[in-house]
Amino acid sequence: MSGKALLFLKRLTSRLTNRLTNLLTWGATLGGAIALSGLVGCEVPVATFQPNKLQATVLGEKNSIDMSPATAEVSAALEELFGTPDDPRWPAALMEEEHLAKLVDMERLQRAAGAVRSDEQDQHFGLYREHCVHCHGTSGNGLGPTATFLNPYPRDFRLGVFKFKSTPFGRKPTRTDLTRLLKEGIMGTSMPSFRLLKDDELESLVDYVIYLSARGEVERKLLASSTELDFTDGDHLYDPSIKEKDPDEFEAQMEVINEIVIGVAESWDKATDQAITVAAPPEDYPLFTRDVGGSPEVYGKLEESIASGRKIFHGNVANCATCHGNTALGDGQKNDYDIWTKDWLQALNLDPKNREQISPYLKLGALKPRNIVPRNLRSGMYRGGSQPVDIYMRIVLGIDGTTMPAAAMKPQNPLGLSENEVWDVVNYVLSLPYEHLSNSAASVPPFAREKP
Amino acid sequence: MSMGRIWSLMFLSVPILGTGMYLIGMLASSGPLALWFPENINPLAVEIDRLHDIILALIGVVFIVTSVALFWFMWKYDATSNPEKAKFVHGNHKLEVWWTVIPAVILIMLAIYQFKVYADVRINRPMLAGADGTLGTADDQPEPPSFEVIGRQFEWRIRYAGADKQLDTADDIIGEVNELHAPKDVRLVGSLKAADVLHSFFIPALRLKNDMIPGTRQIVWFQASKPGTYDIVCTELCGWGHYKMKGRFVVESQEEFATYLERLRKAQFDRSYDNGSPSDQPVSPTEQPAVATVE
Repeated sequence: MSGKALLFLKRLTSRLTNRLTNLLTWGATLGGAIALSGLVGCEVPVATFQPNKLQATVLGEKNSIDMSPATAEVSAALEELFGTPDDPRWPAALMEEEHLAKLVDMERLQRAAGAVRSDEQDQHFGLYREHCVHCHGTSGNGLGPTATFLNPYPRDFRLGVFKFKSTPFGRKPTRTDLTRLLKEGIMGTSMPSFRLLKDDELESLVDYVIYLSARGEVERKLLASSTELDFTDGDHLYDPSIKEKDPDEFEAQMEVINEIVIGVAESWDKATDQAITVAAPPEDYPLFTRDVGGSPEVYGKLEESIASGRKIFHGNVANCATCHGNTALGDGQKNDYDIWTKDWLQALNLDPKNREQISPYLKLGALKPRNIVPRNLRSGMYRGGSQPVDIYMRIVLGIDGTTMPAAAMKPQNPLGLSENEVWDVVNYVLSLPYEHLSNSAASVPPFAREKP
Repeated sequence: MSMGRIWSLMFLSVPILGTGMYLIGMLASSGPLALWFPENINPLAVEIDRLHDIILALIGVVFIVTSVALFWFMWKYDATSNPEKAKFVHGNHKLEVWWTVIPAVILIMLAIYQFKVYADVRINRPMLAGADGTLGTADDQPEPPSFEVIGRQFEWRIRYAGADKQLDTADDIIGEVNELHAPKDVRLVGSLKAADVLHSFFIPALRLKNDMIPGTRQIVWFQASKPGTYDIVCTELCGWGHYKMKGRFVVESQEEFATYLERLRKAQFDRSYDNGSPSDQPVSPTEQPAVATVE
């Protein structure tokens, strides 16, 4: 073959490859753009519940097992039980029991769920996404976009633990407790008041919080129970494909799941009966807020009560000073964590100061550990409410999820506090913002002396 | 018609539409087009509205005159109907002096007028007679605030002075969040604070607007002359939830206000007085109200 023909061939191939690469580049760009627009879309993405990856990983590492099949089956079971953020459902097993079916009202649930929208009568729908989601997250995991900027972090409902309530330590709050929090907000945190919402809107939100909390707690319990199954050996937690083939086996699976669901729902149902009734202090008993401007006689009694409260505060039975500090500035101990943090931190014995060690968990949705600091009682800010009865309940019931325990009380515990002694502590605590640090007898706050 | 003249008509449509919208907004008494201020219920702020009206009238006249002049020049000297070339004129002392002196005089008049208005609403705090018992003497004391509003992301926390008429004392009355009450026809002095970031406390019906600055205390005063419920809004972008930082301002008779304060005072130690208590709320059929009462 001559050199000329070779040159021609060379040129032809180079021209062809050039054309081909051009074509490919263009095609790839166009195809990529189409694919991208398909991915991003012009519409709002469908809201989904985020699986509890953190707990799954913690359980997996603790038991050295692969949790991915369990996670997938738990997600499928949860969707069957609770539906999706746009179409919430109350588990069928609960709808059969009258008292558990009534825990949430389907109509109100629908009102709180879904995308934000309103009708011509200005009735708002999608209330959770309108008011709550940016902090508490779609799944109620306390991981909304604003969460990391807040201190304290927004509540993760999935543990089913709530702080400020009228039921004993470890129990669920009542609807009234939740409504009250929505109305009053939580002073000293980023939870604002939603008082100007209509009552039926607040009720809908309470329903939705109960729904999210129950769903999250069921998810946790399902994940925990699935660690006992061996998925490699053909065990299944929830396998709808056998519904037709092997209805008995499917029935058995559902029985385990429903037992967990009913257990969680029962704990919510019981809360109402568990709410405590605070017996009034005796008629002539002084109360700080009420009697601070009273007659000298009443005021004398109040001072006595405050002095007694101070003694109990520093005493061995109530032991308040250990955490709240001798000056009640909340500086007794500052090294503990709340259970939302301990839940993963202590389960794996992680060192919160070791960034490398904890960073994989932060990526899974854990929030950077922060110490839970005892309340500074001199600031005059009481997160659970500032009525004497609120302080009384915090002392007697403790604060769930935190290191604040319920006080030992007298009839049950002979060494415990009597009710009057608790009221003394209440009076002392309420007087603290007005007490001088150096001279506790004076009751003029430092800022009241400045010219008005 | 030439394109230049069409353009001049389009320029004319701007002042016509603008002035028309203003007039409709001002004159329509109701409906979506009634866009004027809410009724002013604060007799201490009447001058603010008057000052606004005067400035608006002046601006309106200047706006209409300049707009019409602009239109007239464009129309008259449109290139297609005026074959004559443009002549350039450089400077006219007499004219320049006048168009400087007239606005300057107007501005100075406005400045003098607003000094007094500003001082009345911002500087001259209401005073109380001192030890000698007469007002206007050297020992007068500024009237202490009887209520306090703390702006917080994203709500208004309210506190009233108790029986000693002083804030920051042990007998203060904690108000309801997002709801400020005031007695009718009483001059009130209030204190504004911010708990986190800048907020601005605005009650349009009172023409009362004041920034809340963290770490400082702002003093405001007003008098509400008409019972009713009005809006409180935040007018300083304070974060993502700024738009929902709303409150209610309730003006009621002096007796009603006293009853309200008494209820709040009692609500501090007795939950049965508390508006947020279960007994006052519609309770779902599943629930028994939790009873928690002191006394």
